[in-house]
Amino acid sequence: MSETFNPFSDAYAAAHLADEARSLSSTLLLAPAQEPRRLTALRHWLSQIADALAEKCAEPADDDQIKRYKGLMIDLREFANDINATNHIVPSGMEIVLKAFQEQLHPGGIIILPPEPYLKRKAETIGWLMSGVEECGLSVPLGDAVPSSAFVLQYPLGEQDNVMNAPLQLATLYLKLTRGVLQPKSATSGGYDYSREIALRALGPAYLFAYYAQRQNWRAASPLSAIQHLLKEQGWLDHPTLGRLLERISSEVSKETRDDIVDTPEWKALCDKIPAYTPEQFDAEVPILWERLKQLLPPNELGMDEVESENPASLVSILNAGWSFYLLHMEDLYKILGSKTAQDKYDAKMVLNRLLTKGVELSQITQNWRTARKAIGQ
Amino acid sequence: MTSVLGGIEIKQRMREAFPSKLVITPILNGDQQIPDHAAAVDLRLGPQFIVAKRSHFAQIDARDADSLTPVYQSQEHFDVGMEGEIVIHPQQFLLAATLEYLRIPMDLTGSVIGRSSWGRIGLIIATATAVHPGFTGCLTLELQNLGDTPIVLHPGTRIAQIAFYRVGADPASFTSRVYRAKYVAAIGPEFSRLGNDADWKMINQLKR
Repeated sequence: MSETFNPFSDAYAAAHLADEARSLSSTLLLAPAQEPRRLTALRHWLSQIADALAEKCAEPADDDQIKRYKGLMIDLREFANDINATNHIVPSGMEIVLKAFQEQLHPGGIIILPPEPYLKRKAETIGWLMSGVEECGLSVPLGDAVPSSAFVLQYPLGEQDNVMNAPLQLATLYLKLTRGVLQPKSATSGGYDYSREIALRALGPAYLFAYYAQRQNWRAASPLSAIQHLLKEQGWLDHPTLGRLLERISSEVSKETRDDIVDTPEWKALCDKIPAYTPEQFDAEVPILWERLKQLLPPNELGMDEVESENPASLVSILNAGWSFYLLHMEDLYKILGSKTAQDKYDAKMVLNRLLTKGVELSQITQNWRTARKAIGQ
Repeated sequence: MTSVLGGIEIKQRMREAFPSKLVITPILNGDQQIPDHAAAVDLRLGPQFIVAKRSHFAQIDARDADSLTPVYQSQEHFDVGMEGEIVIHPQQFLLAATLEYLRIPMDLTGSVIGRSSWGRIGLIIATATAVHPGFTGCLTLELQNLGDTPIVLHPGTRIAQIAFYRVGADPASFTSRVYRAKYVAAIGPEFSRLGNDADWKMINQLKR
């Protein structure tokens, strides 16, 4: 494994940070149709800072410098959020992927995806209004105006097409699914929030890889508990390809967490409701999807030799194929694309993200199409 | 000798191993999209669109690469979803993409045309028709309504077709070909990159 794809190396962390900076920079260049001249100049300045930061990350740096780079990245993102520079970014890869999952996991629900904070406030206000109406004993039918099952999924500014990190956002969707199993106080601040552990159980290694890559960028990392227990229970630690990697990541992450959550009745009830992603599913689907990625094809389909699409890949396997391909086979993609410079390699990573986005989108469309065909008797 | 591939041959090429494999994915209804007797594959409309907001820029001069920037910034991107729809008004121009993602082997080239059923109601589908060997991605479609009546477009409908012709090249050369990562694996409609043409350097020089 080269240093670039060794999740425990400084080079991996620096490359991850540089990729985020490049992504934020290109996001900032996608301007809205009309804006004041000074705002345009400000966006361009922020974009240049992000580019310069990405370049700087490629140079050797000590821990203090890396810490300063991370701090600058967080400040840049917050400032870009504040000037609300990106309300025109639709559709995003993240939106396509999260909506496909929502359709499968929570049909009938609706997600609001705000790259900009004001939409979140709007969604929260709708929630407050609904509670206020109820508390005042008013009877105002919701109709179509307010979705009865709306929830907000947020992703960081600049990361709208980095669907490899979608597992982190999906944890919120799993939190939604815990409602009805957990008491309201358990699902919110009053009790333990099981969403990350449930996401790990349901999404498998893809969640852990995304979590581990991303946690360096959080001001305070959210804990992921009972990780070794969860991986062991499903047999992931014995997996011939991923086992050692998962074991090392889990031992690093476990230092900061608690393990007693798996003994609670709430956890057992959640496990009954939300099935786990298993090594057997991984082995049955992911190697086929790697082959598609090596051919610059979206990993949407398991049948390589069929003309008609009859065997769409599962959405979870697509995300797992993406992360495991990145860690184990990305050099193949560099070779095909002739990627040499850091910018080339970032572009190659975005190719991988595009292929994953299309894989998820087409897999879901194929499933829906097959259901519709059955419904009309074809 | 250049010859067009028939339906049976297209299906055979889709079943071959890489690198000579032709990929068109997903084929949601094989009998409909690649009938044995036809010499083309029907392609479906994808859910993503780009519409230019004309009042936001004065003109397009591709010679000045920067002049394309405001046009790019004045576009609206839509994803209406497979359950949604979009209306194209008389004389309106918009960019769409095929639902299908294609990978063309090095010994084939493709040619995209509209389906006549749409043409007869005034919808022109594709103007840039050549798809080169080695292409990977979704095809951008340039749609224009030349009729007098607005037309509702529904993603998933069969809107265009692609015919394949043989090219005298070794299919094995696919893997050794170097692509620019920025330009491969398009997954939705893509705006013009005319400003990047190398010719502009020469044309600018001539104008000095």
